[in-house]
Amino acid sequence: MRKRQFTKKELGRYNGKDGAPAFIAYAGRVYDVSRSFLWQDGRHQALHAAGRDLTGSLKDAPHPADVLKRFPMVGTLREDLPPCGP
Amino acid sequence: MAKVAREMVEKAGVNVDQLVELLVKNAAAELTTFYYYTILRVNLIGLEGEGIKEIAETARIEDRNHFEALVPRIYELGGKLPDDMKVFHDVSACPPASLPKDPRDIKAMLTVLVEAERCAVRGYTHICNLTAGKDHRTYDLSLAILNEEVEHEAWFSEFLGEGPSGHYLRRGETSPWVGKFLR
Repeated sequence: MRKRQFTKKELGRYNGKDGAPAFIAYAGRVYDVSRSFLWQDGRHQALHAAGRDLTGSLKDAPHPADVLKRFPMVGTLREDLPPCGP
Repeated sequence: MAKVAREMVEKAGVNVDQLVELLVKNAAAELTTFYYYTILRVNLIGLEGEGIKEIAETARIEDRNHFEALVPRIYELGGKLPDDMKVFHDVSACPPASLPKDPRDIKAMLTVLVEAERCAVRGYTHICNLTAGKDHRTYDLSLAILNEEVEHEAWFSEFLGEGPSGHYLRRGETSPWVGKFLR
């Protein structure tokens, strides 16, 4: 199945609030963490929120990035295009 | 609340509300682990189960001690525990250490135990990193808990044959590091 491409704005809708799924991005990939006990209501360890690119935050996390392999990858994060025009 | 104690931590650049939330989450992890380990312990039977019952019991009691030691710091910093224990359970910093489907599967039991300890080691390492040089009291407490959690991990890890650690089981009283916060 072809994976979906997300812009950062689209990713922001999957913030785990009010029944929305909780998606996070890491290194260009988007993961669904909705079923994780540690991502309830789209929040993780009081510090992180779903619907965001957490690539920068993961380097400071006390766990390796490969914990994300436990979660389904649902797409990729598309770089936002620069605005058109002069 | 210890007003000046909180002010000093804020002044050092720590987001105290965020820190308090983390402490509550870890206190919840300790108390729920104490509960789930109680269930694991009573199911550690037979030749293999009895072999790890003692360390599971020591870890269980020390996790309860960690909960007891964390609570005063939460209130000192202006936080509180949730009124509803169901809420407290669900904000835990670690997933439930639930009994495996087959409690006679000793490897599955040890995996539950070691994963719970690893979650705790990650959590307290993180709190130490956030508070080092800024919030000396929370750092001291978290480091004391971390010392015990690292040993718990090593005990269970060795039973899984993951390599030697050199850590002995407790001789004498439990909580050799956290004990000073309980007196």
